[in-house]
Amino acid sequence: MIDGRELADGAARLLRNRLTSGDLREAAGEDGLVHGLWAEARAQGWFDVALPERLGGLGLDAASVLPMLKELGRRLAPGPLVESILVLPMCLDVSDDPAARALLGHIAVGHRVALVSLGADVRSRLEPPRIEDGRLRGEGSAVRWASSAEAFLVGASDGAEPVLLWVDRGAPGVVVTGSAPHGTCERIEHVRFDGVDVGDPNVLVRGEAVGNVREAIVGPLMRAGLAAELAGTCEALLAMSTDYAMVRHQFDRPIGTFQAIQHLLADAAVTSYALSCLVDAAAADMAEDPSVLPERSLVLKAVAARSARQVSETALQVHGGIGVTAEHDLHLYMKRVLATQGMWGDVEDLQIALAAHVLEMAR
Amino acid sequence: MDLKAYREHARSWLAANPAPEVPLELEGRFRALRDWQATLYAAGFVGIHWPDRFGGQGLSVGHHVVFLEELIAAECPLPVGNIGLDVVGPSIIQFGDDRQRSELVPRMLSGEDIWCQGFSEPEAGSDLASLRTTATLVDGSYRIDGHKVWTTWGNFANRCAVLARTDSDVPKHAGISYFLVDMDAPGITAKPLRQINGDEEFSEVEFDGVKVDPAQVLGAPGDGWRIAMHTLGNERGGYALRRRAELDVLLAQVLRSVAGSGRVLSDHQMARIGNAAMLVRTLEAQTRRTLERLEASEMSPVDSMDKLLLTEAEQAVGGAVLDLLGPLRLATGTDADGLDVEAILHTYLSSRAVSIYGGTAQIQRDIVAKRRLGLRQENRG
Repeated sequence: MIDGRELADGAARLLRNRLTSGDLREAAGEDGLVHGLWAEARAQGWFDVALPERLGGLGLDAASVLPMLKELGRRLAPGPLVESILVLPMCLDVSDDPAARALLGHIAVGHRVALVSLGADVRSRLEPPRIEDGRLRGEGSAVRWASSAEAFLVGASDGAEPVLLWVDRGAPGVVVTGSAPHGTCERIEHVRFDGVDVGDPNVLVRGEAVGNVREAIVGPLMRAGLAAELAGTCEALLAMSTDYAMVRHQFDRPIGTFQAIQHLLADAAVTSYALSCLVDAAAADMAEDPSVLPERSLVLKAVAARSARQVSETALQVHGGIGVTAEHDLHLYMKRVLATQGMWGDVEDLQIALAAHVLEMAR
Repeated sequence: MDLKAYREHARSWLAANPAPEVPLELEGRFRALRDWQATLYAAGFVGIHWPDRFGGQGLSVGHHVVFLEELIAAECPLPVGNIGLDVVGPSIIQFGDDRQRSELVPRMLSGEDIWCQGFSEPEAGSDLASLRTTATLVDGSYRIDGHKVWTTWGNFANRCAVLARTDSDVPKHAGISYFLVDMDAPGITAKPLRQINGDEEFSEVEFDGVKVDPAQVLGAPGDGWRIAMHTLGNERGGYALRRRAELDVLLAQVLRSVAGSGRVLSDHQMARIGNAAMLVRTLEAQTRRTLERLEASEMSPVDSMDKLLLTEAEQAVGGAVLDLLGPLRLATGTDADGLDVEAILHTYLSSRAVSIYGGTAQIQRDIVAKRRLGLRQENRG
C-alpha cells in the first residue's frame, strides 16, 4: 500500500521531469493548464488516491495527500488540483443516494472540477444559485480555473432545500467570465448559470447533508489542501531567494552577507519552516483522528495565508530590481500566493473564526 | 514506563498533590518554591532525565517534557531551582569531575542548593565573550573580580556558575573559564534589581576579590565558553517546549475570564486573539520536532528558529491580552469587566523581554542566516 511520503516523492519526480517554467509561461497564454502534465497525472493515478476503495480508488485519507499537495505547490502545478485530487473524491464518498451513485459512472476519475458557491469567497453577497422548473439560475464568484474545468460542483438550492449539484462545464447556459492575469496560469473566474437544464441525476446530495458537506468536507479540505500547496510554494520562494542572495554581488560582496538581507531571510526561513511543521503536525493529528480537520484547517489556512504573503514579499525585496520584472520566474510564485491567499477565508477572517472557536471552548 | 503511562502517572500525582500557596512577597515566595521542589524531588519528579547515580530517575528527556507539560497544565509552579536544573546541572554532568558531580548534583536536585548563573555583565550582553570579570591565580587559588547582572534569584541562591576570564592573552572565546562558586564566600554582594514588569527575582552581583579553589573550575581552564554554549543551545529548544505549555495555560486563563465576563470583543480584538491562538498552535507543531533533537542531544540552528517563533508567539499573546484592556491598560486596582489588569500588564511586559534574553532576536537571526541558510562570506558564489 502506497503511503503519503511515496505519493509525494512520485509527484515531485513527475513535476521535476515534466513541468518547467517554460511550460508555465506557455500555458499562461492559453487556458492556464499544462495539458500534458494533466494527462501524465491521470496516468500516474493522482486522482485515484483519495477516491474510496469501493469506487475503485486507493482510499487514502486527506492526511496522506497533504505532502503530495505540498510538492504541487512547490512547482506551481496549475489547475484545480486540490479540488480534483482531494475534494471531489471525498465528496463522492458521502453520497449514499442511488441516483448519485449512478452519476458516479458518468464522472470520469480525473475530471477537472471547479467549485461554485461553496464558500471560496467568504464575504460573497451572492445568493446561492436556484433551481426552478428544472433550470439552474444564479452565479458564483472566486471560482478557480472555471473556464478550463470539465465540470462544476455547485452549492445551490431547489427552493425547498439546499442541494449539491454536478453541472457539466459545456452545458448550454453556463457562462464563465474572467481573464488571464499578467502572464500567469492562475485563473479566478466568475460563473453564471443562465437557465441550465438540470435534473435529479445532477443532484449528489440534498437537504441537511449539504451543510455538512460544505462545512465539514469542502471548506476544511480546501483550506488544508491550499495551505499544503502554499507550504511548498514558500519553501521554493525561500530557496530561490537564498540562492540569489549569494549570487548577486553589490559593494563587492554577495548581498546575502549583509545583515539587513540575512535578517529578512532568517525571518522567512522561520515562517516557512513553521508552516511546514504545521502541515506535518496537522496531517499526523488528522491521521489519528479525522474529526480534528475543520479546526486544524482554520489554523493551517490562516498561517499559510499570512506566511506565504510575508515570504513572497521578502523574496521580492531580496531579488530587488530583477524581481519586479516579468522576465524572472519570481512573479509566477508571487501571483500564485496572491491567487490563493484569500480563498476560503483570508488571514483575519480565519483568525476571527479561530478566536470564536477558542472562546467557545473556554466557556 | 512509556510516555503515555508516565503522563497518567504524573497527572494523578499532581491531582493528589495540590500546588502550594505561593506568596507574592519575595522571601516567602522563594521558600514556598524551594519546599515545592523538595516535594517534587521526593516524588521522583526532579531530574527525571538525569542519571540515577546522581539522584536522577534515569528516564528520557521525553519523560521530563511530559512531566513539565502536566505540571504546567495543572497550573503548578516550576521548582525554584530551574536555572540550575536547566543550565548548570547538565554542564556539571557532562563536563564535571567525579567529585563535582557526586557532591553538587544531588544537592541541586533536592533543592538544598539553589544555583544562579553569573554569565551576563553590564558590558557583555549579546557579546557575552567580551566579558570583563577576571579570575587571577594568586598563591594557588583564583581571585575573582567583576560585576554580573540579570542573575535570577541572585540574592537567594547559595551557589553561582560564574564565567570569568582567566587568560587575556588568547582570543576572547578561549580565555574564559567556568567556576562553581559558593555565594557565601567573602567578597560577594548581591543586590535585587526591579524589573519593568514589577518582578524582583533578578539581581546584580559584585565579585570583589573572591577567593576560589582551582578544584571549583568546571572542565579545564579555558573551556568556559564551550561549556556555556553547549548547554545554552540545548536550553533554547527545551525552553521553547516549556514556554509553549505555559502559553497555552496563560491564554486559556485569559480566554476563560473573557468568556465569563460576557464582553463583546471588537473585530480587532478577535483577530488579535485568533492570531495569538494560531501562533501558539504553530509553536506546538514546530516544537514536536524539538523533542526529537533533545532526545538526540543535537545542537542545531533550528533551536534558534524555535526561539524566534516562541518570541513571536509570546509577544502575540502578550499584545492580544493587553489589547483586551482598551483604555484600561494601566488602570490597576479597577474593575475591568473581571479582567486582571495587573496580571495582563505583567504578561505583556514580560513578553517584550523574550526577544532580549537568552540571545536577542537579532542574534538568533544571525545564527539562522549563517548556520541554517549558509549566508556566509566563505560560501560566496
